[in-house]
Amino acid sequence: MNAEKELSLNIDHVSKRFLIDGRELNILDDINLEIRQGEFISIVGASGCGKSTLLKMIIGLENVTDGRIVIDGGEVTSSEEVKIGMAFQEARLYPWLTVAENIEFGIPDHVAVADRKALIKKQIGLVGLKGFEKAYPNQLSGGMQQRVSIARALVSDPDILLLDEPFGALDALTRINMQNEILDIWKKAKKTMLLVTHDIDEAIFLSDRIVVFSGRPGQIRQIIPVDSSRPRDRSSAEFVRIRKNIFKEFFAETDLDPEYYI
Amino acid sequence: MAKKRKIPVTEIIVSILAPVLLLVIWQISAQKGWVNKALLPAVTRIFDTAVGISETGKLSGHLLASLSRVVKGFLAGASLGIAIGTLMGFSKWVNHFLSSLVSLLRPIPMIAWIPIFILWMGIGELTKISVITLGTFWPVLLNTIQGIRSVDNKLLEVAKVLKKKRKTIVLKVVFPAALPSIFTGLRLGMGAAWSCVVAAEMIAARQGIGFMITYARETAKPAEVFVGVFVIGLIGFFIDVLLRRLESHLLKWNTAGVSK
Ligand SMILES: Nc1ncnc2c1ncn2[C@@H]1O[C@H](COP(=O)(O)OP(=O)(O)OP(=O)(O)O)[C@@H](O)[C@H]1O
Ligand SMILES: [Mg+2]
Repeated sequence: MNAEKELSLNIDHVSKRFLIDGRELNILDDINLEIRQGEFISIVGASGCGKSTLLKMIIGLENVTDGRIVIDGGEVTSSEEVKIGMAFQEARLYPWLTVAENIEFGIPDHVAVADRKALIKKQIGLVGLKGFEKAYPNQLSGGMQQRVSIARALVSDPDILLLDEPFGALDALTRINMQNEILDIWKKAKKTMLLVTHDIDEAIFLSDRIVVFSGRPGQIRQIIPVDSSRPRDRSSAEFVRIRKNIFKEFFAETDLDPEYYI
Repeated sequence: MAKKRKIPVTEIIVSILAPVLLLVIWQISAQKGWVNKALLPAVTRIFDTAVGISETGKLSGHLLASLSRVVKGFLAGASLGIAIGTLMGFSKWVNHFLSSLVSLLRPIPMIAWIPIFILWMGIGELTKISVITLGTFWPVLLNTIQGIRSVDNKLLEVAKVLKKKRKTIVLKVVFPAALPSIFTGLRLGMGAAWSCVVAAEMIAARQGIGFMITYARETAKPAEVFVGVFVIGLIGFFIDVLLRRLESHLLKWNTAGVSK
């Protein structure tokens, strides 16, 4: 879908190898993925298959070994101005900054001081942390820290948002709330979203396309489009069919090698 | 780290039991004549002496002399330590350039520097303050370097992703991350400064607690020797408490989870 939309992110024959203890380890092998502007993509795959590594390469924290990643027509390494945001797998908050200050750290430098308060307030409301503005990270639960981290990524208002298992530490209810929020933000701001998740329902609920990775070295095993309109009913026939489809992918792999799990 | 925590009375009692017991045994031994009074005067006698030399202003005179030296030397040593430590922590080349020199000079005991400083600067104030400066400098330097190096790379990555300027990264990420370690350095440095001033005054001074102790020994006033030693311990203790207070105030985030 969205074939007429402009390309936002092009992952072009990307491979990644890490040197571990003098040995080269194949982590990602020939990944090809074209993401259109405003598209919502989820990546699911076994632990250790290189999902976080792929996001880090997109945002420029890791180099690609082979291939290239092009963002809005510019190569990652040469992009000073392109705006990609990322919520890391771990919250990565600054322990010496309060919740409000951590979120403020995400606000770009050019935003006027007068506008900052409103931005922070909005984000705090969005992630449900009202009353905790002055708390320090070590006074928060893991899930709350994760929400601050998401707020910090959102407040930077990037065109492309990378989310690395952002709802992993949340309870089922908060998780569903956050999924709705993300969907809302995505609809309103028309951002390109790339979400890594272990939650298959979450992927189906949110995505335009679901990218299923195989393990070691990570390869794209299948790309599953989800065409039904949002908000999606988690018990609809379409939903169940896709869920079965993805499960099948995993169990096929599990049969080959019991070490992989999701 | 206890911060504004209500300490139970029994805990207080137990924790002061040992020093109180020591004083009681000491007092009894002295009164009964079990120990030579010239070597170990009675506690009450030491206390009377303390009151006596406080009233004449003799004690405060010496104390002020020592304290002013400590303050000057500590400030100089701490600023130098933080400045050079920051440079060495940030710059690989400054670090390569200086690190062998540091490893060579640092193990030299402060006592050994005193004759050298006297040789260079005579027995004036500058010598004593220099000894304190150097004594403060080492722990502050090492802990500053260590603090700046220990910044979690993951937190630096966040700043990089958010396209923060180098100045912002240094001020908002690296420096706060290094602060607990720098504070440890300052506390160790203060301890070093305090022992350096006493050592320096014992060797070359006409005022100060160190001088008071040496002089009292030479003039056979054992009680005064003990007063001097106790004062050193007490002041050192209070300075440490003060620095800890300052630390837990400035580094609220480091302890905040425990207190509330
Ligand atoms: N800096 C690094 N140096 C060496 N190996 C690394 C490095 N970073 C990641 N790896 C390896 O790359 C592989 C993929 O790691 P990655 O974090 O991308 O996995 P993941 O798919 O995100 O897993 P999970 O779902 O558990 O988060 C792992 O085997 C890991 O050991
Ligand atoms: Mg990961």
